[in-house]
Amino acid sequence: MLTEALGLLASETKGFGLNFDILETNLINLVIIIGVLFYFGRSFLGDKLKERREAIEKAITDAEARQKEAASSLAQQQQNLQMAKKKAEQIRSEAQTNAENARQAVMAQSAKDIERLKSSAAADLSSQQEKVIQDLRRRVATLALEKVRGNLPDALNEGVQSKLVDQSISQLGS
Amino acid sequence: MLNTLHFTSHLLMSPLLAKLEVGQHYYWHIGGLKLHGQVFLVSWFVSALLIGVAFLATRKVERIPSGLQNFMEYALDFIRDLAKDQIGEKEYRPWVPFVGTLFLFIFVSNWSGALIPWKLIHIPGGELAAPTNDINTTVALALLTSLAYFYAGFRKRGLGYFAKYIEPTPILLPINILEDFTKPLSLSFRLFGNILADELVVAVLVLLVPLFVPLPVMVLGLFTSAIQALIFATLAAAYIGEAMEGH
Repeated sequence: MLTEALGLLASETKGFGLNFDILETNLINLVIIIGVLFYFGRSFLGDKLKERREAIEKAITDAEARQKEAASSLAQQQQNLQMAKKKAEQIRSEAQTNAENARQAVMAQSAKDIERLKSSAAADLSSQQEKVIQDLRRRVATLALEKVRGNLPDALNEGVQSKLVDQSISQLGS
Repeated sequence: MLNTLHFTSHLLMSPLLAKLEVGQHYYWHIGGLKLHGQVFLVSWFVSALLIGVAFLATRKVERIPSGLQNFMEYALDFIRDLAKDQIGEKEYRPWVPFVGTLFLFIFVSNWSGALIPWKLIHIPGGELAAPTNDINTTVALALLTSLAYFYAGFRKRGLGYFAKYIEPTPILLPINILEDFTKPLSLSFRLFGNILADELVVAVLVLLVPLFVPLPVMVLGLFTSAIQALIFATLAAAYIGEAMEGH
């Protein structure tokens, strides 16, 4: 009765206050329901949250592993690139020396060829000249002989012949 | 309306039992307005609780979330999925805060009304309870939702938003216009009615049989409270999505 009176008094008064009437405030039921909620909610929510956390953890470790893998493969590929560059450099320098050698060889060869051609041309020229000269000589001789042969019947009659023979004999004799 | 619905149990029951008050408010008179103070007090409590928990959860953000951060991220995932399902992958992102605020505020309000022994604290008029058992709160939330979906529609489609009213056929124009009024009405009354009814049922049962008998109803109340929060947030997101969706 006392609590009821106090409660009534509290509800009558205009102001803030606390109401400790356990039945009126439904305290027991609320405590039970909060307890039940905590008991079941904790395990349910705990499982869910643990699951979520593990999923995130796994995703992050996976991502990190992938990142590491990618980094290592990047390093590998960079090394490969470096090697390829070096090789390319090497091939280029080799090619340059090869080209230089080839150039030298070709130039030497062509110089030799030129020399040979020149000499052969010179030889050709001199032999041709000789041939031409011989030819000329022969023709001149032939022409001369022909001319002589043509003149001979006019110039050489009996008298002249005998005179010539005589002269030759006299010359022999002297 | 509800102010007239005031009855005290000791007129009907034995005076030994508790007093049941409906439609009693702790009025604050501010500039000629009569404010329901108890709603404000519990709303502030709920807001402070939400902000406090959010602050605590994000105070030390870890890469692999644990404890409170994990829990809040779980809640955020839930809200984001809800918004994504209703609004669509493309547009949902800017509306997550609004939908999330609605859901969290309503949910925490409902559950605080159902779980916290507010009656321990005595105030000059009315009694502390879930803010959502006052029609003013739910109407405010529903009108905010209306504003939000109008804003979403106009921002997305400009004046072309009005074309929605004569779709699929101009005959439906009156119904489409009516929908803009029924949407906030149904949103607010559904939430308000469910929560108030639940609290009333629990209060009446407590009045009749104070121990153990109200427990199943209280569990049911927790369930409906959660469902109502979900329904409100889902419908708000659906209205926003519908307003932005081009036909």
